[in-house]
Amino acid sequence: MLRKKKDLQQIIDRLSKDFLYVSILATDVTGKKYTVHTGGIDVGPSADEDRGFVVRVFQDCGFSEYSFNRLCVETVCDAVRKIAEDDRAKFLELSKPLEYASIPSDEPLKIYHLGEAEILPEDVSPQEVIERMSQIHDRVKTESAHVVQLILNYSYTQVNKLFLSQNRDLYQSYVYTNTYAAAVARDNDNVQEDYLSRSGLCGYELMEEMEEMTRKAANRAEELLKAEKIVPGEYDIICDPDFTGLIAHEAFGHGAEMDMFVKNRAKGMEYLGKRVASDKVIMHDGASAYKEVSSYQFDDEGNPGGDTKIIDRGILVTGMCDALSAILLGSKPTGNGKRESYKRKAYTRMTNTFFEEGTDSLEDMITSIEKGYLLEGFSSGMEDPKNWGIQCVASKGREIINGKFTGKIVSPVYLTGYVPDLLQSISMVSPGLVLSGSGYCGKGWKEWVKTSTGGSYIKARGKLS
Amino acid sequence: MIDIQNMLNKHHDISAWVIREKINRSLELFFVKDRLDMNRRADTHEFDISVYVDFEEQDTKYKGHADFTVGVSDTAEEIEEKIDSAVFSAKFVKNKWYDLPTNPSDFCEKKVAFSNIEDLKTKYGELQSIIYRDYGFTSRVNSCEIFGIEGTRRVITSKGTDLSYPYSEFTFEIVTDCDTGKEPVEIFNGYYLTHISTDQIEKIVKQQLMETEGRSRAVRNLKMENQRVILSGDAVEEFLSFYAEQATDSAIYNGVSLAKRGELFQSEQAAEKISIVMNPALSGSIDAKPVDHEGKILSSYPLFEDGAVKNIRTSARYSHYLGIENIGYCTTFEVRGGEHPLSDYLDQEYIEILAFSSFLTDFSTGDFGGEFRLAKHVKEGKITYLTGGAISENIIKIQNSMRFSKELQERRRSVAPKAIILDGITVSGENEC
Repeated sequence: MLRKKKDLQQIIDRLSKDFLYVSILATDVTGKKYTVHTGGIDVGPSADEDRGFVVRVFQDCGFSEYSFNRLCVETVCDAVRKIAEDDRAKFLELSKPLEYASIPSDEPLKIYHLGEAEILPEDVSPQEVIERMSQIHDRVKTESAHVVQLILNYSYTQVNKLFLSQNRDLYQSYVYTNTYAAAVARDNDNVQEDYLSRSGLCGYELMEEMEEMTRKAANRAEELLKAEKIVPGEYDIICDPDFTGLIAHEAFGHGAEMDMFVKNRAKGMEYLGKRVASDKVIMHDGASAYKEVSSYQFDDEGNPGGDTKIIDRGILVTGMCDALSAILLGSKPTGNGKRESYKRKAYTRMTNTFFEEGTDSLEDMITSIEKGYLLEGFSSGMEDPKNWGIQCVASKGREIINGKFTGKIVSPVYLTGYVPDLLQSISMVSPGLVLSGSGYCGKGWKEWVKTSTGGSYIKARGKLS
Repeated sequence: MIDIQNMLNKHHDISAWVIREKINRSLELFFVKDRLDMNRRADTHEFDISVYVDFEEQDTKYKGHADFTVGVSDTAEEIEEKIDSAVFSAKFVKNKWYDLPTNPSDFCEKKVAFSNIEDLKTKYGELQSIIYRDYGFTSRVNSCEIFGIEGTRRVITSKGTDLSYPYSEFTFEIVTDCDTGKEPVEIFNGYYLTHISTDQIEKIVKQQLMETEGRSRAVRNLKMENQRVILSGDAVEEFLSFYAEQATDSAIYNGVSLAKRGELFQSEQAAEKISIVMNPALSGSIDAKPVDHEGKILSSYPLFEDGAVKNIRTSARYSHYLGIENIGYCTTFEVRGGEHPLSDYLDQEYIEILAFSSFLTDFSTGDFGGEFRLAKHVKEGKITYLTGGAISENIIKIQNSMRFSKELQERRRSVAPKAIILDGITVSGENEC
C-alpha cells in the first residue's frame, strides 16, 4: 500500500485544484480464518479482508465520494469529477443540498503507527494451527457425550490503513485476533447450542485459551438440554460481563451516535445533561478507551481515536461523532467515523463500548435476589434510539431464589423494555471489567463493523420473556 | 481472469479450483429529511478463489482446500504468493476426499439485467416524488438512502463450468417518523429489489408510513395468553428459512438437523403441511443465481412436500459423505400457500405483528421470537395498536398447529405465504411479575 502512496498523493494534488477538501483512505486488510469442526476443516480469508480506496471531496454544494479498487490516477480523477460535478448537478436540479458551514477539520497531523503482538499470526504455520485446533476438537468431543457438533474458529486480521488529505499523512498497521468455540448438543429431538468467544488486539497468543473455552462451550450446550421456557415477567437480574456489554451497546451506544442527532433520530439529544441511568452507571466509548478489536490511532475519516465518556454517574454527557455530523452539529469529531469497508460510506459508529466496573461483589448480588435470574452470554441485540426500546437475547438464565441458585436453567431469554427504566434500575456493579469483540455491529440492518463491548456483573430489574 | 486461470492450471499441487468473479458498479444517494447529503459511486472488481489439493495419508484419500480473494489491482507476484499460501494451507486440511461438481450441460435460465444506475438518474424525479409525497398520513419520511447497483457474476471451475450472469440490485432504506402521539416514534427498514419498480416502491413507502402512524398510537400491551398471533412481513421468510436450513446436507451430516429424506418432518395430523420448492430463478429476488459457489448449475427442486423431506440441499463435500446426489446449494425458495385466505382467520381475537425490533430464528434449535415495535390487536372488531410486547416460541413445538394464508407475498429470497397463523401463543407484556 505504501508503494502506491505517490499515486494517491498525485490524486490529492490534482483534485485539490477543483475541490475545497480532498482525502483518500487506502485499506489493505488481510488475514486468515481457520475453522475446525466435527464435519471437516475450512481455511479462508479473514471476514474483514478489504483492499481498495475511497476518495472524498467537498465543494460548496456538498460532499461526494468514489470507492474503487483499480488504481489509475487519471481514471480516478476523471471519475471523481464526474461524480462530484455532473452527477451531483443533475440530482441538485430536483433536490436541495444539505448545507455544511465548513470543510472537515484538516489541521496538520502525522501518524505512523505499528502495533505489536506477542506472536505474529503470520509466523505460525497453518499446520500448527490446524493440528492444535484438531487436537482440541477431538479431546473435547470425546469428553462430551451429548455434543454432536463442535466448531472451533480462529481468525486473525492484519489491518493496514493509510489516510491522506491536503494536511494529513496517517498510517497504521496492527493485528487483531478472534477465537470462537460453538457446540451443538442433542438429546433425541432436543437440540441446543451455545458458544463462547475471545478477542484481542493481539496475535496467536489468544489461542492459549482455546481449549478451556471449547470445553466450557460444550458444557454450556449440554447444560441447555435441560433448559426450560421462562415464565414471562419482570425479574431481578444479574448480567454477566458479555450481556452487560450488549446492554451498553444497544441501550446507549446506538442512541449516542451523533449522526442520529443530525436526523433527529435519537431521543438522547433531548437528554444531554439529564439523568438517564442510576448513579452506578459510567459508560465509555472510544478507540483509545480500551485495547480491543476496535482500537486504532485514527478512524476512517482521518481523525484520531478518542475516549468519550457518554454517561457519567447516570447523567448523559455527550455522544460520539463522525467528521461530517460534527460540522452539522457544531461539535468536534471524536474519532468514531467508521466504514464497513472502503466500498461503503462512513457513519458514526461505536468502537470499544463499556460500563466502568464497580465495587459490589457478585456474591452480594446473588444473595440480594429473592427471585430472579443470572443472564449469561448473548446471541443478538437490537437498538431503538428514537423510542429507547431495547431487545437483548441471552443464551440462558440461571434461576436464583432466596439468594441461591436453584439449578434451573431457562433459555432462550429475551430482555426487552424501556432503556431508562432498565439503566435506572442498575443497583449494583461488580469489579472486573471484561470486553469482547467477537461480533459485528450493524447500523440498522446493514453496515457491519467490528466493535467490542463489555462491563462487569451488574444487578438490575428487567422484563424477560 | 485468464492470468489467474493460467497460474492455477500451472500449479502442480492444485487438483481443482473455482473462481468466482464479482464486478459491481453502484450509484448511491443519502438524504437527511429531503435534502441531498452525500452522493457516491463505487466501482469494484474482485475474485473469490478456492483451490483444492488431493493427497493421501495411510491409505486414506483427502481433499484439502483453502479460499482467498484477489483484487483487480493485485500484481502477478501478489496473486502467485496468495495461491502458494492457500495451497500450503490446503495441504493440512484433512477432509475426506470428495469430487467437485460437473454439469451435464451449460443450460440455465437467463437472468434479466437491469440498468439500475442509468434508471436511477432518469427516474430520480419520479422516485423522489414517491418517497417524499404527502400521502395524508401524520407520519413522514425522516431520511433515506438509495443504492442503484449493477454488475456481473461469473463462476468458472477447473471441472468445466463457465457461467456468467448479470447482477442487479436496487436497495433503499427509509426511516419514517411521527411526532403526533404521546411519544415521537420511528420505523426503519431496508428493501431489496432487483430494479426500480415505482409501483412497488410507492406501496412500500405508503405501508411504512401507515405503520409508523399506527406506532404513534400504539400502547404498551398487557401480558396476553392463549392468543392467535399472525406473523407477517419479513418475519415469515426468517421463520420458513428454518426448514431450508434443516434440510441441508451439512446440518444432517453433523447431526444438528432433525430432517430425514423421505420422512415426515411434521406430524401426520399437522393442520397445514409445508411444501417448499427451491427455485434458483426466482424472479424479483436479488439472491437468485443460476449456479452455486462450487460451480453446480442449479435447477428447481422440491425440498419439502406435504410436510415430508423430499430432497436435501447439497454441496459437493457433504453430499458425497452422505452418499446422495449433489443437486446444488440454492438459497431462494417458494412455499405453497395455505388452504384458506387470511380473512378466514380474522373472525376471532388476534394479534398481527407488523414490525419486530429484530425477529430471530435459531436454525438449529427452532427457537424463534423477538420484541415487536408494532402489532395490531383486533378484538370484537376493535383495533388497538400495541408496542413493546414479545413472543418466544419453538418451531418444532408449534409446527403441527401452524397455518398459512392462501395469499402469497414476494420477499427478498422467497415467494411464500403472506402470513403464518399461530394459536395458543403467550405475548409478554406490562403486567407481569
